[in-house]
Amino acid sequence: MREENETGHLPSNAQGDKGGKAVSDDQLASRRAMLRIGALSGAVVFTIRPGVAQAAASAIKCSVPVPQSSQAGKWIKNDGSVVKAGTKNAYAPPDAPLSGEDVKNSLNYGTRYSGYDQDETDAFNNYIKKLSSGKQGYTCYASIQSRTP
Amino acid sequence: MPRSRAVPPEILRITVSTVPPPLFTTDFPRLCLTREVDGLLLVFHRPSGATHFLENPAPEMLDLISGSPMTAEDLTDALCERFSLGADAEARTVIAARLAELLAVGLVRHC
Amino acid sequence: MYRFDVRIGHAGFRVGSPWRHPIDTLRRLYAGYPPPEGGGATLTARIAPPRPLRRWLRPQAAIAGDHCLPDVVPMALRHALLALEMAMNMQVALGERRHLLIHAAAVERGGKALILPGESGSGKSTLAALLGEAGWRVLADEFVLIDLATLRVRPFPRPISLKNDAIVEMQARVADESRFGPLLTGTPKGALRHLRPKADAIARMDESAVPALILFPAFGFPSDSAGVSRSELFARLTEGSTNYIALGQRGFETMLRIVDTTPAARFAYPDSAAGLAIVDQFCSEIGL
Repeated sequence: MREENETGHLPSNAQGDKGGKAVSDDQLASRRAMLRIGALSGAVVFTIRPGVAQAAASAIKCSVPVPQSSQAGKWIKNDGSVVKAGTKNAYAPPDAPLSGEDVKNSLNYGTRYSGYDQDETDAFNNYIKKLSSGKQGYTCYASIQSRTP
Repeated sequence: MPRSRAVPPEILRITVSTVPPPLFTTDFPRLCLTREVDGLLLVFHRPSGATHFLENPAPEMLDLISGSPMTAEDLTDALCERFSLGADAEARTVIAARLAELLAVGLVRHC
Repeated sequence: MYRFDVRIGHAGFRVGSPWRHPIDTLRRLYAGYPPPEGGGATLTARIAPPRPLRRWLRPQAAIAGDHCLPDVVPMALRHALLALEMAMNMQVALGERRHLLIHAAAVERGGKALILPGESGSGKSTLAALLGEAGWRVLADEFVLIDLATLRVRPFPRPISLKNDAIVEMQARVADESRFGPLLTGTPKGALRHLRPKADAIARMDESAVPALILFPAFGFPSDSAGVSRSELFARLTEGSTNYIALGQRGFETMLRIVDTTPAARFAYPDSAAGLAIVDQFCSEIGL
């Protein structure tokens, strides 16, 4: 736990995984992945800048799984519907949930999701726009929409 | 490094190739308040008054540099060793990019 | 110069205007509020014509005071009441140092505060107004003040800014016409009307409350809700705090304590009834 400082540490109820405790294989794998070029698409330093809208978007740590975890193994058709893997005009979904910031930027500014082309990005976005109450990622999508100026 | 217009090119080439790579230092965590939150490190950097969320490997990088000032190369070696990963060109490129981010916000500086 | 002095919570204001009408309107809107405490420091908030001729010719009101921001566009004189409110807001936003400011509305029940952060359009002001008519005490509409030492919410019960459809909705629920300010049309945010909190909220403006729940509303979607992680909570609350940076280390420590001790969630709602129902549900879950 990084709590050393000149004026004494702040009380914390968080459990850290540093300082002597063994790091799990998963954690090791993810640490190694951070030193690969692929990890460079995001920043590792997010600075608090009150009143700046862009910072607000970066602060959204919610994410949208594509598709629902109950639909694992399925693909996303270009119109956003969830279909059997290998279906024509359908694409393999992203392997991790899409971050709220990436979704906001894609919907508002047309950016593509890192590692995916335009067709795949469009398909994923059509899926997201079809999300309704009760579906995973819906409140994340709703809160992104409500923050658009 | 002083400008050397009158220096013959051979001498200049030798001088340039022996310029030592920059050393990085940090006042983390000494002059900071920190807290781990949701797997990120929240840092209040007292000298700048700025607050940052740091994602891995930034906290580890700062941890290593805080031990003693080091070059990007040494940092890469040390970090890769910590992660049981061979230090390669990819890792060096990523570390250089992350150092630039930390430099930009003043969490590391050249010494 | 026409003047109106008033105390709202901890802040005493000296409000000035070269035009008489806006000051008279402000005085009516703040009927029942106490004067500033004798000997206490007061914040100066003024409106003034951006150039001398603008006092009479297509008159405009620029906002000014102890603290000011360059580049704020002056408003037409018919919106002078809005300009006065903005001038008062600005003094708090830029000058407050004894409390951490959060951009949110807040209401109180049983000594506990429900905090509703959000930008314009999120519905926080309307929800606060509705809750204020349903047994809750309005603590704040725009700025929630967190005491740096005790973490308690210090009331700042200004008249609530209702916009567009919310105006009609609250007019239907509030019988006392005198609690409403004038209807302002054509403002940057559309139609706007102020609603003074109930007399009780004004009388108890020195009674603080413990923060118990933070709910981020998103108006205009089918009902849904989700938790908010501590990292997101920290980032979103600081994003909406005009004095977080100025408070330095104390700001950081106070915000961290809020985030450590106050549960937070977000919810979407299609209309007021649904919004109030979700708020009710959350509150009963945590005993608020």
